[in-house]
Amino acid sequence: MEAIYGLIDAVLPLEAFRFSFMKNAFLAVLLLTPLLGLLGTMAVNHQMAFFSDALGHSAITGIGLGMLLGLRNDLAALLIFGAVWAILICIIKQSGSASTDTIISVFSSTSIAAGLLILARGGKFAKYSSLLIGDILAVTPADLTALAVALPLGVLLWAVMYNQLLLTSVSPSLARSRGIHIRVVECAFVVLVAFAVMLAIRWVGVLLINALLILPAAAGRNLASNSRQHAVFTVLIALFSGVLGLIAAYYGDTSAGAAIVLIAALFYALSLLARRFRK
Amino acid sequence: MRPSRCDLCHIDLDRVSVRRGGQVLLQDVSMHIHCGQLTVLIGQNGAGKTTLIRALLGEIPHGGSIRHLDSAGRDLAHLTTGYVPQHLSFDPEMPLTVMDFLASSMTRRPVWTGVGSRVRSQVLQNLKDVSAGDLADRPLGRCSGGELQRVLLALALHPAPDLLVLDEPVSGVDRNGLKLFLDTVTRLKERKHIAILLVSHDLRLVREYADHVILLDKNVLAQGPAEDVFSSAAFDTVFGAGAREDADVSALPGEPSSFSAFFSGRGNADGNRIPGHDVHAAAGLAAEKQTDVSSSVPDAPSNTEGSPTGPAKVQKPEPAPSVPAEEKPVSASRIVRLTSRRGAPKDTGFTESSLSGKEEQD
Repeated sequence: MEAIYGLIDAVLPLEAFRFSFMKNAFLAVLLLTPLLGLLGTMAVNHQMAFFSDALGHSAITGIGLGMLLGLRNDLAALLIFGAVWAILICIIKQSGSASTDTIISVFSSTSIAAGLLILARGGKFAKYSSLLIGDILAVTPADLTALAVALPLGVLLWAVMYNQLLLTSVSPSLARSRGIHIRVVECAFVVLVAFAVMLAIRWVGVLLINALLILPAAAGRNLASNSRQHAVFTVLIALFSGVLGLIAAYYGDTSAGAAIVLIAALFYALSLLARRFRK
Repeated sequence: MRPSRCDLCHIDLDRVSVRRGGQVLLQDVSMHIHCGQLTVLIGQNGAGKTTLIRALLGEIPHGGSIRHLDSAGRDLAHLTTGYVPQHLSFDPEMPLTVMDFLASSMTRRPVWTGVGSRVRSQVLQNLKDVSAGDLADRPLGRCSGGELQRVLLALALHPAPDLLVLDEPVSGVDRNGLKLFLDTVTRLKERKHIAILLVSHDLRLVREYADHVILLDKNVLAQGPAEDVFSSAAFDTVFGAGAREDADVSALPGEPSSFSAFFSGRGNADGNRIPGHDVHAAAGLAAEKQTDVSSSVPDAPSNTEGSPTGPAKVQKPEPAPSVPAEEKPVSASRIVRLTSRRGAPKDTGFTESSLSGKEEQD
């Protein structure tokens, strides 16, 4: 870690990065935002923005259930619950029993209510309120190691399923006719999104996680005319928003997650203008 | 009729039936879709055309059998089906070029990392084959209806299919675009070893391009050359006598028939009125036919009657077979259980005589 810290000092000789907790946060931003951004490109194209929001909300229940079951590792509880919840939403959505937004809304509110019910017992919810807004400054070197494993793994899985998911998002019946198991591909994608969301939720918070997933991809989409540009613009916007937001929060002495999301929103507004000029 | 390179290789549908929720969507549909021919399926909304396509694609369970047979009636190993869907449900603002779209079906490399030169040149060639070479770098959402159909055709042709299924490519496409599409399909038919099934609502173009026409309303009402099907009593019953005049190719070019104008750009809404024809009456007729059909078991050969080049034959439900049900060699549902989804049957249960008997129909 010392070598990496030294590199950060050499490349970014800012006062903000004198502290190791800021260096850790900086590294976490570099590892998290590209993965969330890449997954966001498909969430935006597949019109699943609301879905990822519901997944974020379900983290509250994940933590609550983990506590009830006496799991020491919050992350394990979050990942397991996130995957189960994502698959459930996926199966019910595919059964076509109601419109997608209705199903997601039902799941979203149910998971918030269940999580609150568990965590607020005995008036102890304040203890978990950090889950709502996250704290990226609390990232530890151990967390960074986990993220360093998760990022390439996530990108690899994403790369494997991307083409099939792309064909499915253009036309499910066409994809099916080409031998693609569209239900499996869709469920694999939502589980991957669930994992990424659950990994990030402690640092970004339930209220802001969806913005990190959707905003860079939505801004990148306004600038791009093909899939490659969409991925490149999205990752760049996600990285810039993350780093600029972190630095701005340090100097403004405010929430890093909120600053990151606001800067991503600014990029989105600029991308809308750029798109209008291009047309 | 033009002889094809493989005139007897065909896709054999034998008593294909589909039921859902107690409702009969298809009843004992038997037909041959021949290699090197453009077979066109016509019928009212709700006649079961899309259901038949879904059965062909293996999307829905069905009774009866769908097999790919060679000229000697032997099962061919595998039926590769290319499919051009009726419409796409994608977001037109998606940053996705035609190149990305086609490349995504040809390579495992995710297209967000770019398209390799080998795949790119292959996609360009595929697009040129369908007169769409200039569309490669255009966003998919900015293609016109006709351009999109040609792009989908390019996709459906790779890997090379045995059966090409084109589901209502007329919707949302102007007449020039449609003619260009059908000219391309005709060229493919002459050059490649493909059986083509087209669902069309534009009767005038059906008359101009089809080698073989099948009139469907839950089951096959008539089949044969377009002229014969169009002059059949079943055609008048389904579409009304006026539709035949609308379909006259001598009408002014570029002027859509009232029939096609009604459908063009309309998507796939069901149950609408057709000008000059009472849908409710037609639905009642269909229900009546269903009753007739379900009360008797049509003979397989009777439903495959009429060679693709022969005269149209209006198919009426046959009387119940004299062979008691328990003596039948194998039931339709048994055949479908024994048949792999889109591949060759593992064990069809057909006797040699039953197969050769079917071949005699050709």
